[in-house]
Amino acid sequence: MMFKAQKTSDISVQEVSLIGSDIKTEGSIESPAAIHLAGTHQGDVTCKSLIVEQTGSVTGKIKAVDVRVSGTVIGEIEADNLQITKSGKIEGSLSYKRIEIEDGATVEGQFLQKKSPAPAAKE
Amino acid sequence: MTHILAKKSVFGTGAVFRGKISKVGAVDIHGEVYADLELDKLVLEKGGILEGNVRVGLGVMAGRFTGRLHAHSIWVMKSSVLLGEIEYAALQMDRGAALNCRIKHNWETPPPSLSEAKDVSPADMMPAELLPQKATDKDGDAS
Repeated sequence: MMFKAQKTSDISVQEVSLIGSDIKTEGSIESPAAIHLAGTHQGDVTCKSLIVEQTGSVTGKIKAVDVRVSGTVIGEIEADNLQITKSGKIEGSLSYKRIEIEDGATVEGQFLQKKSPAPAAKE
Repeated sequence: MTHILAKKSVFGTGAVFRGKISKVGAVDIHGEVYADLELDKLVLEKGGILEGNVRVGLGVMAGRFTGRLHAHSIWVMKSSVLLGEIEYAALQMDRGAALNCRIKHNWETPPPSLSEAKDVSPADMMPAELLPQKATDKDGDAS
């Protein structure tokens, strides 16, 4: 055998997408689940939840239920829950239901709170 | 804060990417990727879809690939479907894989062992006792 044998049944379904720190992408990403972005993306991102890591950057439009920005975003963000951490840098327009901005974050642009914020989830 | 600063990237199940990807080391594809890639290691998981031109060091294919694949080493697993053109140096294929493509073995860069072998003569590989005796022998009884 040229390669070490593996069981094909061991292939797991992974819902979370991880964009590594070494990668540079240009285009559109859509996902029904979460995306962790540590690399550089130019284009639109549509998903359930997006985490832009400290090394990550997005230039384009982001549409997600939950967005946390620790890296750089230039463009538009449309989210229900938006969190910008202290290392986050945003330049563009923000549309949200709930927002949290940590001390030290850099935000420049237009803010718009969407009407009728959804009530807290009940189990 | 979470850090997923690994060099590897993963396109999860259900994720769809269309565009260009560059500066990439290793990628796992569970979802759908429509892009050209040049990378060290590619794993196209079962259920994953990849369309485009790909140059890769090691490719493990268990999903559906359409396009041109140039791989140094490629492992085609039983669940894979490959369409298009494949160029490789080393290939392993499991029973059940579906290939509908043109396959070419790449001889452009022969392994180092072959290039070194050019300088070795058959005499160098022969045991000493089998080599022909020299005509002149100092201790020989020629008289």
